Amino acid sequence: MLKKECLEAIKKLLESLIILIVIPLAIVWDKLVAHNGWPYADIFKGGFIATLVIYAVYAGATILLPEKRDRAFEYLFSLPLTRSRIIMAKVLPRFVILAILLLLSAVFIGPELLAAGMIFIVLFFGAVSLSIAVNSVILNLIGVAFLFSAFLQCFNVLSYLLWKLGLKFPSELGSIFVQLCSALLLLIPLWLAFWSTFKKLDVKPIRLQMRTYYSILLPSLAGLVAFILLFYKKYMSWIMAGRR
Amino acid sequence: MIEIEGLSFSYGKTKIFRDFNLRIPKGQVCLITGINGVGKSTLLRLMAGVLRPAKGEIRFDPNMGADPRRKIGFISDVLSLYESLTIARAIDLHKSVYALPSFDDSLIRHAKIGRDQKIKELSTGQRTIFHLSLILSIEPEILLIDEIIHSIDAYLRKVFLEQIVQLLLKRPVTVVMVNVNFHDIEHLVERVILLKSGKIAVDENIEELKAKVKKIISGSRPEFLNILSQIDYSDHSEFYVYPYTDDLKEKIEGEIVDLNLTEIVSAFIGGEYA
Repeated sequence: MLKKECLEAIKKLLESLIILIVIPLAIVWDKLVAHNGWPYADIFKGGFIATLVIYAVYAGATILLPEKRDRAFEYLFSLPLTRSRIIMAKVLPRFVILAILLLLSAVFIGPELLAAGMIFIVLFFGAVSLSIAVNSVILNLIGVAFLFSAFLQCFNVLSYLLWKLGLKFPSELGSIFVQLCSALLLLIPLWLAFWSTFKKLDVKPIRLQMRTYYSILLPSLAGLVAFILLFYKKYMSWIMAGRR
Repeated sequence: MIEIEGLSFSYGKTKIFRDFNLRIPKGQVCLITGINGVGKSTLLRLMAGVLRPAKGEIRFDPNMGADPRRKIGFISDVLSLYESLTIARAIDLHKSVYALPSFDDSLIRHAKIGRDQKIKELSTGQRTIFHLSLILSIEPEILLIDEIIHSIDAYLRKVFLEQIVQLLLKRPVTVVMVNVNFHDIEHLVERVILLKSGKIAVDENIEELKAKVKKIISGSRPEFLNILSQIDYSDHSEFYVYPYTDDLKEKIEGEIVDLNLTEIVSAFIGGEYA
């Protein structure tokens, strides 16, 4: 099972690396805009970050795709595998590749991207959590974009609240801590919704089995959005006052 | 052994089973039949553990271990497999999940299936044989077969059934089949269960069933018998009756004809549609 999922994860990585095809185009472009002083390194950096973003979302969004595409849930669920083992075998290889890409980014781009690693974890697990409800990768991407903006605004609001409470961190550590809190606020209900549905999933049409998923996901997201909106005005005034 | 107790199951608002009970002893070959949509395949999927009952329990022989699926072979009507895998990779996956040291691929080679072929490239018959060979590799104690063998060619069907016979000769395997080609399996089946509206309408040993279901060819309707279905001709009618007993023989005006399993099941199902 793990071997199959590893190969599947590598396949998704290779599909994501297609983005690197744009690099030769970027080189031509770089030559054209050379007079503007746009260096090749910046284009590579942009391409690498785009690859990371695409891989994180694509690997997460397609985690249940082989089962949905091949109608293989029946075979998978007839195997003597616990649901936790199935999900571990699916998530682990994809997550390990994401972690390797993040470490490579520290080498190629610099440690600042590693410090923002939580963003890619949010993208990946956000896409995984939505994959059970959404069949289309495009729809999943739209959902992840919404989740990501919720994550960013949650990060902003939490930064403001921590400042208001008088908590001060060295800037980078503080940023990672607030990223972690925002990610947990978003991902815990998402993962709970995904897992509580997946562990009881059977071969009935998925739409008949989504009640638990939506009953956890929708109130949690509504709560998070309400929390953001509650403090967003104050956060904006704080920003406008330039007190950050 | 399979023991179903107080089982309830529904698809959304459509109730399929309510407080359903059934016991199939170890080593019995059982045929489940009934009209389309009555829940035959659903019952098989519940036994295979790919559907979860809303209420009730399905128990297996305690010696099958903590996860009975390890010893259950299930061939569904949709032949669910990872279609994009090659045969070699699908075998690898199967071997790793069941921790099998080796895999006998003679049946696959016999069906002219190449190890580099993708599952989606196989014919229905080849996929059925491949699925069967996966199942046989785990030495199943329970075999659940949906009506898939209807759609495979005569030769591969023969191969399939020969494998089942070989398996049954080796050791006591509980086999539950749904609506498969009755003619092919008549010699294997020990028990027939007819489902009707989510309940068991008929549950008989095959020999007893054959003794109890008869065709009566007569010009007049035998009112004292329960008629399952009838076919009218210009000068006579054929009445399929159940339950028939030998002491009724003298009362019956007409010819009493024995039936094979196909005719018996058709009589019951015909009665459902009448």
